[in-house]
Amino acid sequence: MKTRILLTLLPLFLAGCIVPYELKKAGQTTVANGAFTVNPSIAWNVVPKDASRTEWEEVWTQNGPMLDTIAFVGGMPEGKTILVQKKKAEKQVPLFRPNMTPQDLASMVEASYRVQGVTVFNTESIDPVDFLGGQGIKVRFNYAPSNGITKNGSCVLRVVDKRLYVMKLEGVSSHYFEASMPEFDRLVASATLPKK
Amino acid sequence: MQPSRRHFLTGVGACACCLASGAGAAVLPTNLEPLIDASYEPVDADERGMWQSCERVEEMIRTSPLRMDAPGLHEYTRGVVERLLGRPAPSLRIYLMRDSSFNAAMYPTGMMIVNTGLMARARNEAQYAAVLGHESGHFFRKHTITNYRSVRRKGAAMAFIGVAAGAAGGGWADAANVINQALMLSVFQFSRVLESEADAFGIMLMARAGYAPNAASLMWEQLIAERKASAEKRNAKYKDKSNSTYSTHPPTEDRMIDLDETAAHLARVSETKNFEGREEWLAATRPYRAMLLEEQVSLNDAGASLYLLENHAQDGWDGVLRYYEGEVFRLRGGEGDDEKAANSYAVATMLPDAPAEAWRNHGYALIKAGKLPEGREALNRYLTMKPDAKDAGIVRFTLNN
Repeated sequence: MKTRILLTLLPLFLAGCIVPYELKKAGQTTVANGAFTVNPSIAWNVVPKDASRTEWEEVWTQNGPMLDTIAFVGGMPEGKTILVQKKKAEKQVPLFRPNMTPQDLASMVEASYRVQGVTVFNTESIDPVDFLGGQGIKVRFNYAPSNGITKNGSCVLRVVDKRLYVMKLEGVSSHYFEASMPEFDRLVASATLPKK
Repeated sequence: MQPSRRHFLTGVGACACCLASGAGAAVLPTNLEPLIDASYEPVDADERGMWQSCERVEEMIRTSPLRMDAPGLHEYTRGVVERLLGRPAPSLRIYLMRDSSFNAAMYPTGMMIVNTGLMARARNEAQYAAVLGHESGHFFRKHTITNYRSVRRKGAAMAFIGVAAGAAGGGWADAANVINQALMLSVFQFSRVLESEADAFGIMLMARAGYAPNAASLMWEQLIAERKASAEKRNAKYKDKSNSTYSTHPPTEDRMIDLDETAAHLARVSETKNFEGREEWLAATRPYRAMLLEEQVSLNDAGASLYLLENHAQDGWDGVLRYYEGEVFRLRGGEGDDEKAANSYAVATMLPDAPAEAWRNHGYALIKAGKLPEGREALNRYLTMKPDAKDAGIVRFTLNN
């Protein structure tokens, strides 16, 4: 009898342990705790939060986080980092500062990979881009994680009212990155800050 | 040739004898013989299985995007290993890998992996040879298969003891736990013995090849100093991860002392040459120097990076080292670091070998400090030196706004 009860309760317990992906339908929607608005043309899956992500970040995926992701960071204040890290960790992502130069911002993105064990990281370009109604920067890069599956990335950053706003597409170099690029560019172009 | 238990125990015994020689310091055995020769093939099922696994790993490494494309450095590394062995090694396959951690490895099939993290830290050829000699020790003393068999034998014994104690019931479970714990600890202990033996074999090869044998202990001394510098800048306590019962390697400081004692012993009992190969090392690594430093500095471990740069600057600072010093401060971004970074970039641009990036960062630092005309001039200089720079788009935008 005990075994039967346990077997009945087991699926319920396991279901409780799994945080489900949420479907984000096409059409205007807010991201990163309502920090800004984007207008996806297709449906996306919202990746459940995990311990490595900061409170300012939200992540979407089309085919699973191993293959492609779009991350949104909305309004991260001064002195915080784009990755959760221990204060005394040996390798550190630089703290965000509002007076960071374009090069500092690009280095911050690069460091977020380096501290996670990525040695081969190549910046392809750093260019100006329109983002959230003003001038931001766009960093294109590629990197090779230890599993040898190379990925490409495109990261758009802008500092508004001393807070950091980021959108980053990352995908496996063969197919997945290029496949999501047009939608990512549309999302960046559609991004707007809430009216004050 | 079978792994010789007698040979191994002789080595361990010699090592144990030497342990009695001083306050924790030991002269490692310097008469170890290789257990295999160049034509060695696996002889039993264990080894054949292990070789097949190694071949699969090698296939992945051969096609890995982390593999460094550096034919000159590859041939140089082969030359160092062949000098250590005292003969050509046509069956040896060397893979230089982009990995910022301090490491190298040698597989029983004759595949050697050398990380860029090792190259970034070595000051001369002798230090490089010290690590490659150690790895050769693992190969020639058949450590991979020896350790595998030890783990498997002890694992089987632990399983048997656990089952037997369970069947017997009563108070036997406690006794089984005690025995199994001892067996588990002995697995780590045995691994540490093998590491010491590889140290011994490596320093022996170095001495025979005419390298300065004290380069091995100096390499460890530098590594300890680097980790201490890292901890100090983070207000953290230095901790040697090898200083644990569960470590597969002996405590780093013990290794350093033992290698130092052994180098001194070798100098006493034989005529050692003291070839360091500083110039040879600099010539071989020069094309990759910026990349090697970049890999370390971009980890943003300020204490470790500054130590590394200062260690390389023992013979004097140049433009490349000063530029990376600025990068350390810029990435750390603490109080006063903007000024320190600006100063390093400014000094770098006054040196003849400053990279173009030093001018870019000098320009941004000047703009941050409110010196716009000077900043613009430095950024223009950067674009003149590197018109097709990856970040030329944003630099031109900065200049136009």
